[in-house]
Amino acid sequence: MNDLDDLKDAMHSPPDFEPRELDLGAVMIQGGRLRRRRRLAVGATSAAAVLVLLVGGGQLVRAGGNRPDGGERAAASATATAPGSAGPAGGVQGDVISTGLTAPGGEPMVLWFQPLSGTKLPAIGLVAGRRAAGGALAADVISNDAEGEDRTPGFHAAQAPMMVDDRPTPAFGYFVGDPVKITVEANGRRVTARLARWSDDPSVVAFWFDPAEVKPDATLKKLTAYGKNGEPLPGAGVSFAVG
Amino acid sequence: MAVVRSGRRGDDEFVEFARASSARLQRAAYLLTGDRHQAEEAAQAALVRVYASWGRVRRKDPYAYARTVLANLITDQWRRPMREYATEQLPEQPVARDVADDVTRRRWLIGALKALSPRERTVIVMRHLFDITEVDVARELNLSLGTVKSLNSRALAKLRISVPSPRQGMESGATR
Repeated sequence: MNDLDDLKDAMHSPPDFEPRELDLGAVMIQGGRLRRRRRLAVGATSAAAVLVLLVGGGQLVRAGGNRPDGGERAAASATATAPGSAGPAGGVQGDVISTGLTAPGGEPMVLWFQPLSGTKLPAIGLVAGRRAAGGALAADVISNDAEGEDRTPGFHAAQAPMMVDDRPTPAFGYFVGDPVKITVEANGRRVTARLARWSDDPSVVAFWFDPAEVKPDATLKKLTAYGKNGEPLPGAGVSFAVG
Repeated sequence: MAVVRSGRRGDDEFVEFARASSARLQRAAYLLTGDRHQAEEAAQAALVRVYASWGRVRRKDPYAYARTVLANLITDQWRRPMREYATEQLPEQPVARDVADDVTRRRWLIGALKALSPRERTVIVMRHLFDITEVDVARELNLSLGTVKSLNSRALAKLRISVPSPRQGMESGATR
């Protein structure tokens, strides 16, 4: 062994230093946020900056108890159709919302709010996922505002539909206020969203569009919420976050 | 959208990559910063950036991307601590080179490494820990090949590392 081999050997095994196991979960969360920030920085024209973390079904959240998935169209005045679940810390906040939609694999598609832990982020995000057999929740997409307050009146966390592992996910988000109808123009055709009030805060109304009507890669315009007299509510016209 | 479509598979690949490369990235970061906590933070920060660009780099050379990001992160963000180490005064080399005393020898070399200038140290780590060619070091650090050769040569001299000539290597190899 020559001097150079000694150096290489020393660098490969420096005394007094032992690598630790890094928190890859945190790495992926931060990396996902960074990715979204970069995309927003490049292409964002949205009034509401939205941060979306793709989970891709890798995170399973155990939902407690039996919960019937109604699947009916929920009115703005209705609360979520499924009872709440106490998932793991940071998992599910309030009731899991049944969308009435079914994934290609036959699993009911659901939404739920999730508390966020980032110090600079708003308190909640909205997750689109599926309920697997046995009640486990599989998250596909998490959408949340990247900045600002999460309870100001208007649209929040509007996320465009996309394909995740060859499964379509819905366009979705939430509106703070009292909408009775939310619509969007998808490829020039007006489509009405399904709505459900959040169990933890009735001023928060989750909305989602059927992927069969608002397909991934559709051109979306004029996202608008309407009040009980048919009047447009403030905040119309925000853009969806993409990807 | 391509990243989205391959989300879970891509995540699995990233986790596999991160587990395989994490230890060496941390060692490199430790050699570059001289601080174990900064090393962990730097390695983790590098992996965060790799994950953020995973859709773009996964089919290329993610390890090359990771080490370049790591080197740049440390150069950019921890410049001050690195400069604190830079000195022309190398620690005293152990007088008697005891073959059995590998730890003492390694400790001296690591101490001497800390005494190099940041650029010298980075070139040494890239060239001899990651074992990449001078051409690749130059490309990844955005330096000229001549600069890399010069930094490497000067740093090895400071470390009192004698590099066997190709002829010596061949002779050595022939006798084995």
